[in-house]
Amino acid sequence: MGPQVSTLSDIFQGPFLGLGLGIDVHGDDPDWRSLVDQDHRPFDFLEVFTRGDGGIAAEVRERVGPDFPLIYHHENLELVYPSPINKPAIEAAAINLNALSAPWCIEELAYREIEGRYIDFFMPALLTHESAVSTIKKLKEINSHLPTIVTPENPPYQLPVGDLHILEFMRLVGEGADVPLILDLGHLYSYQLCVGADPLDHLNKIPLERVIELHVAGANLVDINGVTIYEDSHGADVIPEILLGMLEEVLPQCPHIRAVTIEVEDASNERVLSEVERVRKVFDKLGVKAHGS
Amino acid sequence: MALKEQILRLDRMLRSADLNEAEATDLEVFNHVDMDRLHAFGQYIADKVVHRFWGERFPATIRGIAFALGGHETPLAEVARQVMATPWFEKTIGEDVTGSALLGWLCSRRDDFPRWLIDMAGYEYLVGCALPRLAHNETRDLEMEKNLLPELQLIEPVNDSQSAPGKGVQLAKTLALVCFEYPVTELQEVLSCGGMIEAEVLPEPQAVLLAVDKDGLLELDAGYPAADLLQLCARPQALEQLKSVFPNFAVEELVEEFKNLTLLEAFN
Repeated sequence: MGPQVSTLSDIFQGPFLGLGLGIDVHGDDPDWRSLVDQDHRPFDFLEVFTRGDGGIAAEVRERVGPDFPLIYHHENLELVYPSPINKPAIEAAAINLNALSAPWCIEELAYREIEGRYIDFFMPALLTHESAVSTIKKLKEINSHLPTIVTPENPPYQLPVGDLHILEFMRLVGEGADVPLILDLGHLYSYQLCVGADPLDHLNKIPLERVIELHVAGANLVDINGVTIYEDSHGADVIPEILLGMLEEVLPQCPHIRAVTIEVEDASNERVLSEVERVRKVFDKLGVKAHGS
Repeated sequence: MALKEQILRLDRMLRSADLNEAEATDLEVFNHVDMDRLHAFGQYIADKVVHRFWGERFPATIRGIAFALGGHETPLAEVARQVMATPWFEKTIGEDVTGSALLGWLCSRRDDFPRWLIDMAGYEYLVGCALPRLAHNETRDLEMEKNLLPELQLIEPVNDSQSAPGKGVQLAKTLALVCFEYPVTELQEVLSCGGMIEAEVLPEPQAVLLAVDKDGLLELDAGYPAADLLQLCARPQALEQLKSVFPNFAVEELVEEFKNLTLLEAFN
């Protein structure tokens, strides 16, 4: 397979890929190679995070075969940080997208650097109109350099700053840049915890017709002096039951849904399989099946 | 206030060790911020930073600093809170891979800390940061290094074919030699295992000799004559020459031992 060029219409009208795993292909856990080498893979696609390394992206494509669906998750495009676009990061994303033949590229609405200083955790977008306008401008410019669309994902929140709800912020960005959206249900829950709201309060603020992918992942709730901090620990912890309930509610409301991803960095292979089974039960309950399965 | 300035201000608020000050100066800008959550998140970040950035390479240093700041009950995150609140933290590269933030801050406040702590930090820096980075040709913060370890000697093999004798030995790896005023290895072992240090530590000079290459570090329990011999072997040396320099020393046995440790290599 060669480079894939995807338009918004291609993405919205494509088939439902099913249930996939979000993996860091540089990590030891889970052992993604042994997972993909199984005769009957229990997942329908992989969402690949490569730390910008094009070589390993090509290895993933070769290992899974030419027809297995792969999505790409990038990290350092810094969509919400008001700085000029990072051309090397965009070039790295383009190389990986081409190597994987990925139909879209995911990037969190967060920054990991401040004036060149790495901050080791995602700092989410400031939730203001000014921040949304800045993000839209940058996202449009980045997308003009890539073969497919960078699709923003809501980041985890421990301290929202600004007067917009995260779902309203996503609406502004999605509509302003005319891009699809990724809704991470754990990250949404983290925001709702911060503002003392129920997990799916204000769901009508986001245009669900733009949501093409839902994420779930393991998490840990940490209490610090009576304040609950959502620790987005992915595979190091199990998926909270509440997120599966959110998935059951939200999935049927997304008419252009293309994928549901479990992010599993740091999980053992056993945990990956048990988490796949838990999410499959939600699919079974909803009667959801991947295209071709 | 421009968006970037808001982000920078938020960063400073989260890193502030004294959030009351931040409340006074920043509430006007961030009037939607939940201050309890700001405190909690700042604490959460500090806890992550102290463990991720420094826990593995400087385990005894951060424990020693915490102890000096407030006694044995002081949480390690307090060390991060202190460092993060200063411009030193803005010197971090990645997860403070060069140690510039933690150790630059420590050196800047060396009068506030016991001298053994500065020595021990120098030892952990050498073992956990400077020499591994040297072995992999990675950059170091030389200014901070000179401040922390002013007497550090790095001895590297010199390619000097003109002075090479017909047969002899030469250093095969880079050596680091530094003399500390306090027993750093003992202190490091106690603190890194969660042990406690008496309030007053008596000086007990210790010379530390380390050999380094890409395969790792070798700490040598060698006295001064042995260290001198290795230092001399930075340039090729004939065995007879070494014997004449160290007439009261079992040079042949020592050279053989160093060859077995791959510190010296023979040439013909």
